[in-house]
Amino acid sequence: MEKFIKCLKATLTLVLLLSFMPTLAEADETVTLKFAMWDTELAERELKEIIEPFEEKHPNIKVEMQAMPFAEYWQKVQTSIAGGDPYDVFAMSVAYIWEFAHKGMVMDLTPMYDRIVAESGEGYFYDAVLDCVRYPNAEGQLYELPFAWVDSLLYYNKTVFDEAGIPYPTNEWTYDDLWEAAEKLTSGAGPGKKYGFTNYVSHEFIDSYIKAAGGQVLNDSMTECVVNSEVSVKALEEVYSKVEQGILPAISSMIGQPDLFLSGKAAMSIGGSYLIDTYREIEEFDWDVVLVPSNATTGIRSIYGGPDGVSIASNCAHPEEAMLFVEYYCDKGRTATSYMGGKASIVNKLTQDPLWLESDKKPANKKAIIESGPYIQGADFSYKWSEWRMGIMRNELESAFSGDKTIQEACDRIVEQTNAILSELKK
Amino acid sequence: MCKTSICSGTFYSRSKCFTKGQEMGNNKKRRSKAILREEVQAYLFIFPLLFGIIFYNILPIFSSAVISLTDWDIMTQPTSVGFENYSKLFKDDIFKASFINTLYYTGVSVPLQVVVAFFLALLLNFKIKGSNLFRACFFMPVVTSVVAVSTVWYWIYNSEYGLINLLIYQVFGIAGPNWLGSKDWAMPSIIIMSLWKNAGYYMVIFLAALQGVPQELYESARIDGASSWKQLYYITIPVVSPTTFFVVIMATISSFQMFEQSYVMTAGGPSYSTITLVLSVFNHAFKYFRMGYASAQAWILFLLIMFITFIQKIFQKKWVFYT
Repeated sequence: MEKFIKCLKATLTLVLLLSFMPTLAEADETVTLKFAMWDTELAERELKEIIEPFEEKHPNIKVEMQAMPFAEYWQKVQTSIAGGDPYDVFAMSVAYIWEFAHKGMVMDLTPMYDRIVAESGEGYFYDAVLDCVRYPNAEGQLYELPFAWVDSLLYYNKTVFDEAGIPYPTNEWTYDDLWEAAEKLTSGAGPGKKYGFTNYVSHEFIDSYIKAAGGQVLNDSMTECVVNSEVSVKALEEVYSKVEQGILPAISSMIGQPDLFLSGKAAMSIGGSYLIDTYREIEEFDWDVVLVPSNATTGIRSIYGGPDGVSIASNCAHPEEAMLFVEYYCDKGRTATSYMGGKASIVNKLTQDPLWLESDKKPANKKAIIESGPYIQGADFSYKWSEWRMGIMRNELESAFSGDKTIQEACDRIVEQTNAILSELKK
Repeated sequence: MCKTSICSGTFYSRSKCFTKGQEMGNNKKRRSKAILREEVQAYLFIFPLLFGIIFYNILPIFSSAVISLTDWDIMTQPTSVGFENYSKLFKDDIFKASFINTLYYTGVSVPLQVVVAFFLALLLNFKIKGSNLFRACFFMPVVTSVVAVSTVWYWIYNSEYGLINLLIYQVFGIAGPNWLGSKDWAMPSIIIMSLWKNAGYYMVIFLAALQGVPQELYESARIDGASSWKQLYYITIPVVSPTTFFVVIMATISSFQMFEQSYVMTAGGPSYSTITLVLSVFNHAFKYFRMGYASAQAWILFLLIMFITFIQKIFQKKWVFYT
């Protein structure tokens, strides 16, 4: 019996040792990079078109990709870095890069950018948009290498315009033209009511609307909220008056509801170009896009937008391999067709490729994405943007547009609470 | 199993002590050694669980108390701020809203869940055909994940295409409310869904209690000519009252911790009308990375639950009867 137990012990020890052997051997050769992204629909395509070719080129690097919903993405990425076992490379949004750079969670990629530009020549990247993600301002460092950019467009339902006999929107439209057409296109009552325009509380629309009117959400140095200025409040009151007139749907019929433009209940909408892929599934009506209108009085055209890119965690264990991957993912591994419908490449020559325009698909006027480029402004992405903009400001505006408080009251509350948050920066 | 071995072991050694007291002096050392060894064994047996509880429950409780006195964003070093987080809470409108919403949700949904669960249990306690099938049906929502249930109800509540509003429109010819989109209806919507989700669980507990009510009580009551309602009022309700007490406590605690429903269906909106304490803790901890502030809120929630449970314990003397 004792002999048997001894034998058993020896065998088990051997098995245990052997099971460690391959990992020890592997660790010397292959580097595994953990890569996170939020675009779950895009994941499979990128795996095939970008990651697999990259792994073939670099047999010693394995990329483990994980796609998760946007809502939980930021929390997961930040806790992974804080926990010391980060995603080496991860997708980064213009809305969050300021915060990540501020906290020192991501590596400075300016040297990589400089080298690519030195090799490929000035104007290789679309710098006007790329500068949106520099920290702390447009002259600062790059903590994210963009591969694409998106902006907002005015979407319109061609079928509804045809039926009403109203000419289509044009790039020359002002907001006055928009409201006028919206009023004409509003019809019916009750559950079957059709609206002229929708999605008016989103930051894609409202922040740009304030700026076109000559107002501001934050001041130039982004240290103070100034949305309760006379100009900004007047702009918001203008929008609310359209809600009262019934041209715009009530807040409650937009929250928790399918997109009213998508369901054909609103004739126009301003939203991100990334919606193009969703809208391509529409079969009930024809639609197209033009530039976001300008303000008739000030002549200002402000468009929400910015780049999508990737960052490397500052505590990434394999920075060299991560750099190789980032360069391939953003630049070398890309062609004109490796972008989703609503995204434009940050590499200039790719957006000039006729293949990118996808002339066989909607929208017919896809070049509007590129034409919007010069007017792009972010939405004051800065310290704790998700807290003050998506928390406080969104909720206050929703209450004001529901008629629970006046626009002025809501704006004063936004300023008071946002400034309390922004003042933490000075400490 | 480990518990039995401890009990029988100690019992055995003790009885030995009593019966053979005279030998105690000689064997004391050996015996206490045996007891010690058994105790060590017992601790070894419960170690895995104990380890989990200490490191994942007890330590975090204490560390959250410490964190609540700091300003910490996970990435940078925490800085001590004293009781600033707590004083900030009293000036925070969103926290106030989440506090009131939590009380609103608990105040309405606990009585509702307890009463509905009790009557379901009463009905299913009758020996009718297919009662097992009904029990399974009512219990089904309990074993389903809250997130899945919330997603399905999100569509049921849809103001245009949702089942409920389609039904209202077809039966009454009027448009139903915008359940999750209006700030007056959003919380009731969540309460109704939670009732459907949780009633089955408490129903099963009540069923077990109902089946434990001694039949002779009913027999003697019937002989005395008591009606069914009187039997219910004077026998059933008092006899199951300890179970009712348990159910009330459990429902209260879980209601105070309501999170998933709001998170999935409304994200706390519209206009903060469905934000709850736990959702607010989650937002501050994992969305805004204010660990100190989130911990302070968590402690307020903890104290609130403690306080309410304490009150319930005092009042139970008035209505809970132990046989």
